Amino acid sequence: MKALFKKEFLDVLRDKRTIINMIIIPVFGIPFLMVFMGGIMSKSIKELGQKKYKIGFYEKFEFKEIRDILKDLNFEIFETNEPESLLIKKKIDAGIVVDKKEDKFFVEIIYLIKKEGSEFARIRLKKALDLFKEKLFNEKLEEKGIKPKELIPFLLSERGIEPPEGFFGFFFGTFLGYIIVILMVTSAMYPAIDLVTGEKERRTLEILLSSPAGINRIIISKIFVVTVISFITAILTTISFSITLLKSGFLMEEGISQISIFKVISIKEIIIISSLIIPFAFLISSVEIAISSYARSYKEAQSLLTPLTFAVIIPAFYSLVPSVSFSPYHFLIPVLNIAITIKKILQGEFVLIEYLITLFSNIFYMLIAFIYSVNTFKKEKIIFRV
Amino acid sequence: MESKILVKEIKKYFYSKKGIVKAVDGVSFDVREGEIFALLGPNGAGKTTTLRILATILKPDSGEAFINGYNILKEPEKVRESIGFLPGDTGLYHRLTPSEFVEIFASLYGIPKDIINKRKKEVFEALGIERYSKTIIDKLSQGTKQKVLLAKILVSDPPILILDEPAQGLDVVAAKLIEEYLLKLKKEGKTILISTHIMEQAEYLADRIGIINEGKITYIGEIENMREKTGKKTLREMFLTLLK
Repeated sequence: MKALFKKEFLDVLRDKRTIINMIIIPVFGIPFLMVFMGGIMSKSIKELGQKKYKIGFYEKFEFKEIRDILKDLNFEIFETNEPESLLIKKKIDAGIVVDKKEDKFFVEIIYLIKKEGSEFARIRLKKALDLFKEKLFNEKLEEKGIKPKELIPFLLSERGIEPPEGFFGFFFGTFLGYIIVILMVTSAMYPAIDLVTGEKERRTLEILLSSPAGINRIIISKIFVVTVISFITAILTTISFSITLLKSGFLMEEGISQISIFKVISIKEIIIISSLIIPFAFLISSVEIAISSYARSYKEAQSLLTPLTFAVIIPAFYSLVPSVSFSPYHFLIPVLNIAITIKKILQGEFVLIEYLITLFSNIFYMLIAFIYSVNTFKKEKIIFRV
Repeated sequence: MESKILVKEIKKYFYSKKGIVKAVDGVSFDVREGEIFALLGPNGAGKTTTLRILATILKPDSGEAFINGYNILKEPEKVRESIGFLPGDTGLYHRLTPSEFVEIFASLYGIPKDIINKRKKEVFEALGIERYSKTIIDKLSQGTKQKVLLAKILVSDPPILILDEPAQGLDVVAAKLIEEYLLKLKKEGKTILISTHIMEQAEYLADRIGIINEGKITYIGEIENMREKTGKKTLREMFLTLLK
């Protein structure tokens, strides 16, 4: 077995595609993507916050102070009688209509729903006008000799006491399970194809099959090597994802860069998650090796394995849906069970029975996939399919 | 002399939408200890399928075969330990070096590392490939690759060699080197079964020849007997006569 492992590892680790999927994407791809995305997001939010919004101003009755205060707050005022149609034509970011009924001013903000710039303009307008309204209100009270503070029945304040690692863990847990399962499947794909279909295509399989290694040891070593690669990808993904989250300021929360990774994910949780990932990696490897055994060429193997990616993405994505409450039956569904169990563990919602259902169902699927994979590989009609 | 390879009535049919292909249809022959036996036949005659069956890569539909006394169906592991198989038109692990390739496959035979290294040195020198031992196989020429394949078998040192077109794709010089090496191995007592369609090679190497066509053996015997039987002078003429 040692010689077979050596052969498979040497062969597959010298394949650039394996290195890219196993190391480059988790170690460099994820941080780059997150830093890049984080950078774009924070830049975009900053720009939206500082932007000089163009406001269509329709004064049915003059309210000069409003116009002045909006100008002071860096809004560009554009006089118009038709703010709504200008808004639809996207010539302004938002509109204000000033009207007066029975000696009372009515100020209406008009904005385009779900249009980012318009939504931001609305938020800033509302904040400005609320403050202005409060200022006028207080002035009127003072004119009448009433101190505004005396009218307030109680003072309301907010104080968040959620520890930063709790919030971090929530975010971390939500996405880590999803990312891990997807990358484990994709990273196992190339070595699985290379070690089986690649051997067929390069016509090296006969050398191997006629050696004293024996077909069982040959297929087991192939599954084992792909499992190791998939597992390493999961580990590297976890490390890379957590370090990037902690150090890049992706969450834009103060103090997060000071948190130790072990405050977010304990050694006990790492062991529990690893116990789930190992049979899952074995399951994926067995399935991918079985599919690759059937394929005649690299191209065919890729076509056959592509649906598997979708079969993984859909349940994995379902784990991200926030409002779904999962029943014990959900923990029997492969891929979904891994993603939601990891999510719950990292969000501090570990439930033993859910963990056990996930673990044993994956061990069961792993055994079935393993037996199927070995039997597929042993079939002459499949392995020498022309 | 003891038969190191004994083949009895083996059949192998392939089924497809186009119909049945009788690749091997009741083939019987034997190869004696220390003998070179050449299986001669045109393309598609059943040579490669026969050798694949003997190497335990394919299972026969019926019939039986023994290699080194081991039944290919009942004791395939023992059979594989007894043979060195060179598939025809084979590829190589192009990301490994010849040294790694030979070492890994020899260790599958349970040979200790120090012996592997000693044999590897001898064989690489004899085949003139020692300077390529650390070069990635992908960068080697076709002839050198074929020598690496042969080196893999020789370092493993099994008593029986099954070689499918051993000089395929080689130039005259490289082919000659391999032929001489096979004769040397025969002298050392190895039993060698080769398949070839190169008449000169069969004539030069083989003690006995088996002619196979359309999955059936049409003749087995020494070249002298073939001459007597056909009344032809060259092996090519004899072959074409006996093919029918």
